[in-house]
Amino acid sequence: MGIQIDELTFGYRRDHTVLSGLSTVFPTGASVLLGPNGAGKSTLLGLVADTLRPRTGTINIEGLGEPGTRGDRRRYRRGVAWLPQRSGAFPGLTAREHVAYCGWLKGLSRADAWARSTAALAAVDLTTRADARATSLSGGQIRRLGVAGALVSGAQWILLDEPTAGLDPAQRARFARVIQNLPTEVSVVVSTHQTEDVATTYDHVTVLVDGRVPFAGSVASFTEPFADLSPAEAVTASYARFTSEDD
Amino acid sequence: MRPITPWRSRAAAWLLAPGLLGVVAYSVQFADETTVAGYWPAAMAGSAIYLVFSCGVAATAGAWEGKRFRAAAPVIESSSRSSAAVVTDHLWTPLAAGLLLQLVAVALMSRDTWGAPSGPSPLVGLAFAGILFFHSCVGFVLGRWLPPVASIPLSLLVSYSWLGFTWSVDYFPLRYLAGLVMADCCSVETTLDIRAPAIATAFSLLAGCTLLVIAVARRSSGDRARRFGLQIGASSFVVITLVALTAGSGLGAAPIVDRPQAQAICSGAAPTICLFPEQRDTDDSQSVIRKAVENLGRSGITVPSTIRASNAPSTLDVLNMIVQVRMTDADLLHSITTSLLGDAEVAYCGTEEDDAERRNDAAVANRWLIDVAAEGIVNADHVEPALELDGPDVLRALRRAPVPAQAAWVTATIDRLTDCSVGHIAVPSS
Repeated sequence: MGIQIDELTFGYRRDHTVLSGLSTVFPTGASVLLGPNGAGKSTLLGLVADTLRPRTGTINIEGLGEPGTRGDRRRYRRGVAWLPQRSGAFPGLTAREHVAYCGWLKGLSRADAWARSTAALAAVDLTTRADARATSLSGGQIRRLGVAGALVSGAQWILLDEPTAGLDPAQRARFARVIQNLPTEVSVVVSTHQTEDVATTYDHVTVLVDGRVPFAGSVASFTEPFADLSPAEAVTASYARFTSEDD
Repeated sequence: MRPITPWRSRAAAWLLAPGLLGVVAYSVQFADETTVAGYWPAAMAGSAIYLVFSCGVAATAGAWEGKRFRAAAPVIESSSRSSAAVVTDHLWTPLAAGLLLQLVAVALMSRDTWGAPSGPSPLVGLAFAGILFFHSCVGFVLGRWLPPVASIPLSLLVSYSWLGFTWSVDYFPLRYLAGLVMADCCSVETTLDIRAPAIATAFSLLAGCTLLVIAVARRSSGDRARRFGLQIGASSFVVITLVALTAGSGLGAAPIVDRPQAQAICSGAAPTICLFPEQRDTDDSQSVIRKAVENLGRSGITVPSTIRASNAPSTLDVLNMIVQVRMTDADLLHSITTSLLGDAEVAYCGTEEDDAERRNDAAVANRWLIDVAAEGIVNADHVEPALELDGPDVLRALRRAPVPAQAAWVTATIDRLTDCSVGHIAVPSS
């Protein structure tokens, strides 16, 4: 089942609604959440990560239950790792210490956090930078460091909010490889408005426009109308159908 | 086990050295004025002056931790650990560094007090901990919401101003919130008003918690308490401040109260000498006082039948005198002769000439009392007189008179010092 979202409504102010009656499913595997700026992608991931509370509706993750339930909150949050767009490197820490601290925040003991940080850094290809100051890493390395921080706790779900924003093509390609090589037991939802790597990196596409979901399905079904184009062009063209309708 | 945040990233660790340097330097520079010997309440409360250093370190380290919290906030938002656990991880090092410095300060202040009756006051220790917690929180909330270039100097400034400014204002209740006022305590015949540490502790702990509520506030949080954290924290802070000010509204400039005389131990007869345990255990004050009284009695000076260590005015039956712990014999003689001179100022009776004459008579009487009382104890020249003698001729003339006449002149002169209806009494002739 993955992440099941039903009739979700949310607004930051009483008189303003970002998501209204939204229902969708993120299956296990690698999902991309496509949408223009202001569509509600960060809000939706924040709700799934249990940092926001919906006005109405439910979110249910297979094996973890619903967020916001006081008794199960710790377990839920440990199963879902969230990397917000504005998160960066923690000052004064090395890359490994940064990852270990993220693990500790997710409830790991100090010993476990240290022990798992090595493997998490290896998974994002940052082993050689483990002892470098986290703030000295490049933009792309800091995003991968964030993924390592999400991986360290053993979360089943990783939510990445615009992780490739501001990265050059080489850094984006490297980041895509990290996503592709994630352990099979880890599912990922990545929000972005960039379409270049979608066809080669993800299994499932959800399009979010103005708080609505006009499309949710496999990459193949998403690109089907444009089968004559290259995979990357087909994704771009298909995505344009929904955003241009919105315009 | 390796800490989750390395020591090199803990500001408290590298602020300890300059803080310690400040404490030791202050102690060396002002040791004579600040060291309290032999009386625990004074030693413990007096070390409040060092809060300037320990709180400065706690606040600055708190600001640094606030900066790290600020950087990690997006990840902390989805943490599995509670806000309290995360904040505790950030705040314990500033608090521990401050406590360590304050402990050194107490040790320095009390180095001549070990072995004295009673011991360190837990209540004052708790007040120090509360005050340090408050300053850690001040730094933390500033570091959480301001960039480091502003929060770090500002936290130091706020910490120092809060302690120093409140101590110097005439609105006394404010002094009790900050707690530095405890440094004004106390001599051995007085003790610390426990309302001072109680108010400082309660205010600091509660106000510190409200600052933490502000620190973890987030407008978009799913948690209602955190969403309205700024409003809840700020309004609670105001209420707590008002309540604490009200609690301190009846207090004076310094947090001292007279020590109950019931704590004094009286011994002997004619005179009965009542001293506090600290005054009895460490010195030979009793025998010096008794010997001085005997000397005075032989010369015809009547001393009240009871002598107490107290700041209160003397009465016909009780002579109150200052007896510090570990007082020299000369200082004891200075104290008893000054007390015999009377507690009231020499009266001004209308003319400069009369005033000068009365003052000189008082100085002559004082010098005569010292000469008599010091016999067989110390050289009278080593006893500091209470008044400066302008006309030594009067003293010389007095010494040539018969001893009973000398005592009669001294007694009558002391009585007339505050009575304008009595004119100058001529020195008896030899």
